[in-house]
Amino acid sequence: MKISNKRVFRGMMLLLLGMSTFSCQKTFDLLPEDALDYSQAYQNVFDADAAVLGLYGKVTRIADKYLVLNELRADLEDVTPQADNYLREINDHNVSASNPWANPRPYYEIIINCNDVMHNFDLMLANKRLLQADYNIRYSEVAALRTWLYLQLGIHYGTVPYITDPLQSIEAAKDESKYPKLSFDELLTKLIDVMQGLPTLTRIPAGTSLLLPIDGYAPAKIFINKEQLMGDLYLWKGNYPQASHYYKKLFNYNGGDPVQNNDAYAALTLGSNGSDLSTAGSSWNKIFTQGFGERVQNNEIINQIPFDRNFAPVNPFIKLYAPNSYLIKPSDKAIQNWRNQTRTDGSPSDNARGEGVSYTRVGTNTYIKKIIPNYNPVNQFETTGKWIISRGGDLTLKFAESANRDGRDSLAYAFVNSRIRDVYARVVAPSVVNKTNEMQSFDSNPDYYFDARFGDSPNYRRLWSYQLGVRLRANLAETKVDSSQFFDMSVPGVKSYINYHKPFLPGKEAAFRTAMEDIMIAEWALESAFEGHRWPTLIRHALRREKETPGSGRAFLRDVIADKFIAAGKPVPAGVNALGTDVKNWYLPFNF
Amino acid sequence: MELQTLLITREHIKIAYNFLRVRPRGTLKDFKFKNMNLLKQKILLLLMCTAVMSSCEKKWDDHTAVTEPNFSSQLLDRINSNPDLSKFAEYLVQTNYDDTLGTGKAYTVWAPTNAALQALDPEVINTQAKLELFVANHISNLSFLTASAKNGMVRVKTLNKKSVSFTPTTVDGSVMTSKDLYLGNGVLHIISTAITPKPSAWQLVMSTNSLQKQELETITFTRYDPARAEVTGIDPLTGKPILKPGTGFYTQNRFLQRQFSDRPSAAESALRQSDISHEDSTFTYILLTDAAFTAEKAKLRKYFETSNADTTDSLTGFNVIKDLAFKGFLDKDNFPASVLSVGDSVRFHLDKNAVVETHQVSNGVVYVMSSINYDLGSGTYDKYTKIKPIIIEGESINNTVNTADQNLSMVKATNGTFEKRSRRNPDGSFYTFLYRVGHAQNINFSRYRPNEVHKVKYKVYWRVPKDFNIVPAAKASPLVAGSTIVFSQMRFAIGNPLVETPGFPYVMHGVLPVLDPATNAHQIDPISGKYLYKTDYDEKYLGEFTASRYYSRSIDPFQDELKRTLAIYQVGAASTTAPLNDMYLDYIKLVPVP
Repeated sequence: MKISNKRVFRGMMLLLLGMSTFSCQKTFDLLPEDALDYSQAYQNVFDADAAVLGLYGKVTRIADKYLVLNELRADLEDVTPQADNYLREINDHNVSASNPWANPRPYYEIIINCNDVMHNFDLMLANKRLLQADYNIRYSEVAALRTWLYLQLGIHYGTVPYITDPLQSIEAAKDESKYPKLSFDELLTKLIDVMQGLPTLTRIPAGTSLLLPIDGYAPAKIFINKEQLMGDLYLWKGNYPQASHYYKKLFNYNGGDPVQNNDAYAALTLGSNGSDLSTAGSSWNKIFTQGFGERVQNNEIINQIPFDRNFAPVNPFIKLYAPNSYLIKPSDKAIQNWRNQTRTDGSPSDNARGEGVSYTRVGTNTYIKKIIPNYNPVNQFETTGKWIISRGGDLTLKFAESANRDGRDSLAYAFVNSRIRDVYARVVAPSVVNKTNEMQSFDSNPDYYFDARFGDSPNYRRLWSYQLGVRLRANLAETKVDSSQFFDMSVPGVKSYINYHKPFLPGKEAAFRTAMEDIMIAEWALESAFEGHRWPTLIRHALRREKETPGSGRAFLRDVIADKFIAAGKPVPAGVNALGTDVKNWYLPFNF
Repeated sequence: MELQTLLITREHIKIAYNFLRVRPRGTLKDFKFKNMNLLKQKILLLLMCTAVMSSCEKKWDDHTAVTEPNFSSQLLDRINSNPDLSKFAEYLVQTNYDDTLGTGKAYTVWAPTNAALQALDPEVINTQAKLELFVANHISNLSFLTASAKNGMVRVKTLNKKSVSFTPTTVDGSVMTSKDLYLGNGVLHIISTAITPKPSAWQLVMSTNSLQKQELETITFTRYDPARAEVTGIDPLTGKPILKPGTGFYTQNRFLQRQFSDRPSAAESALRQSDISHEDSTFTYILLTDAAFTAEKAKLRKYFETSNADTTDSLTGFNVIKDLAFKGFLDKDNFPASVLSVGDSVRFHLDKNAVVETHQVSNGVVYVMSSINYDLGSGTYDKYTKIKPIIIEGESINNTVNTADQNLSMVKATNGTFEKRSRRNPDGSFYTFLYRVGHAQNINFSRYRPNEVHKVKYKVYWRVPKDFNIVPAAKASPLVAGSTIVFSQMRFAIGNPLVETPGFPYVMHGVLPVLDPATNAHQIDPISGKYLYKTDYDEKYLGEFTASRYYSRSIDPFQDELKRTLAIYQVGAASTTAPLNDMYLDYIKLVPVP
């Protein structure tokens, strides 16, 4: 017994010695105790859920990049004297190849992760580890996220490689022979095809394990909204009936009754949280100041990601905008935009959304506030916040844009300005007792039919009577286009009840649609400044105009961005002037 | 590379062992003890490397070693070793500043030679406090080389908190015979004449016996602040601190303490813009000769008449001296054509011929002058005049009811609604006006109480723009093209608002017709067929009045405020119906005509 023990001991010693000298690597190549190995993942539906949420964890890492590229390139943000050279390059449209903000690699890292997850979902389905119904939901979520990332890439880089294979590393993605670059238009076609081919485009049904709260946050609003993404893709593509169709779906979630139901983003209605976002124009800031799970999200916020002081990553926006580091500030032009507005009572300046809400002024410095509304420089560790990716305000403006292009300018006007019931009010004379035919857009296309009938004694309220235009919600007077330039004012009365106006002067319709778009672009600057919509909006309109009249899109984009520098009393950088010479100059250099 | 002899200590082995220690997992806990041979080899290798690296250290030291001998000598050593600075060295010891120079910080010393100190007043040498002040005037914190006086001159704060002007060749006027000796703990300059500490502008003025100094003394007060008192203990019964008698007193001067906020969040010292005792600022201060002071007082007295001769006298005196400080150093040979005084800014035109004496002081310059010339007020609006114009904003309405003295200053108890409306000027700036609507009062009025009104003739202006409902109600009215629609009548009043103030009858206010730029004809709205009108943003001249005395909120705080201030009214129409009796007011402007 003793001998045998000794032998065993010696043998073990020998073995250990051998292992330590020759095969160290193998010996210590143990599976980690605190993380899941690749081979152990994807066992059941909860693993699949974790994979989806893990992807969104990676998305939080590009939050600052998303805002910098989408806003600092546009006209509403400017750099401060503290900003480094890389931010200045973005601001001046003179981006060097080594600029980390312009590196698409973080986007592709998530895309390749998405591809890998989708590949594994396929395997799980094949191995019967995932039910078909569970697979449908999760696979579609990941595909939507990937599509959203590709849309962002297309906006900023123009032509990008489209990769759907599960790659081990990003280096493989650099193979141009295998993954040729697609033009933005080809990319949009691909993305729409992929989305249309998905098992489901509706939102995640209640009771799905994917919706279980994590760390106290209900994840439903974290996921990219697939229907809105469809609308966006069609809007970019120029398929306006389809874009409106999907946007209308969002308006009509849960039957579209905002009074009764949450999650119906029925165009800025008062709804059940009327006290939260009232007409007074004083509560608009609650969209930003309220916490992630507060009531404001019910009918306003479509898509948002929380940043919690207790979890990584730290809210990345504080470094960009807060007084401590103060790298980016609102541009002088953005501030002028708000100051140039007139309220419904005739007083000047947009107080609901301007100073004190979207930005603040301390001494001579101006700070972006709406992205980090609750941050206080004296309480530096209280960094909890949220990243609003999309909400009712921008949904409404996108619907208005789509409707206008689809020939429904009166509807667009109502969504931007006041109310459907005001715009369509005078279809019947006030003396007529029968109210059946008033206050509604008579459109054979159900996507454009809105019943906004409203009256007292007898009291009647149809669903869309609660709707408010973007400007009226902020208590601003209507913004208008000069009708006499586009319409034949000599014709008495109104010729159409779809569009409540007189016939066009010959050849003036296109100019009118562009003029309507101009007031919408101006409204975007007031409603959604700093939220990451500005550059995409400008590029979308510039591309559309460039397609209609070559040269007009370039001039439009150049002038809008140059105004930022002119308003600040600075010379217009060469890179900004170059926007007006070639569409290629609109895009960032593509270097992994 | 040569290997030095290895000196292996226990410490070395321990470090190396820790470095190589492998941390096996799970069942392999005993691994490290079974591998000692291998470990020993590795330790040897590591130690050899360490030896090689340590041998490099020495060469690196050689490379970076300080070779400049001056850097190893200290300021104090240099001063002591220079026989020509023996006197100064002696004074350093007397004042204990030798200890200061021996500390680890960097200093700049302007050391006067023995010859320079020959002429020193024996009183300075024999008075410890004066000697300390004198020696400290030659030492400053940090290293100042002549190269730092790049722009010709730099103000350097010395250890006695005064500032000296440092140029590439001189310090406060005395020439440097040897300069820029960069030593281990600072810089040494040698000067041929000592730099005597100068008084500040305030100290200089207080050392004279001029009327101006006496006037400044009348507004110097001793105050008591328990927080500044010395605490000797805590009362065991009450728990309150026991204060040492005679402590906690401090003096304040109304001229020095005045605060002017051009920046809302400025520090208190920055707000005290006319504090000429402050050593960190540079001032030009004017000290009037007694004759000039008396003449100025006689000139201004009539604008400060009150019911009390003493009050008038002290008010006039203060107003003579309140604007005599200027920011920065004004060279009398290059006086600017006009310069604004600090604080509430009066425009002065200084004349070099009136300068009687010039005194350089530690914080600027003091000119003794036989006359001064400034803008008193010309009858046109100018906020830099001595007698200031008054702007009363409509929204600053003061309708607090005081039943005690209704006749003195009347208000209407039933006010109707006050609306403060914000609007945009034609130039894009914003303004706010007071709109009183729906008050249903016959001859309603709004009362205002400006802070200060001089006994002087004032021209009265106001601005009452109406920018809403300016299209006539009926389509065809008014029938006459080019006529203005009157929207309301109002008048200005002082004294009793119910009685028309002489010279201020009701004024009709209206809007302006929009004229066609080509034909100059009154434009018509193509849709409604009505004549077009626009808002009249112009200021309107109403008339003039002379205040019977000087009024100020800040005089005689024991008197009722109603008696100290002048009540000014905007009076509405004699009608009880809106919109006939609506009242509008952006501002009232009173321009003095001295």
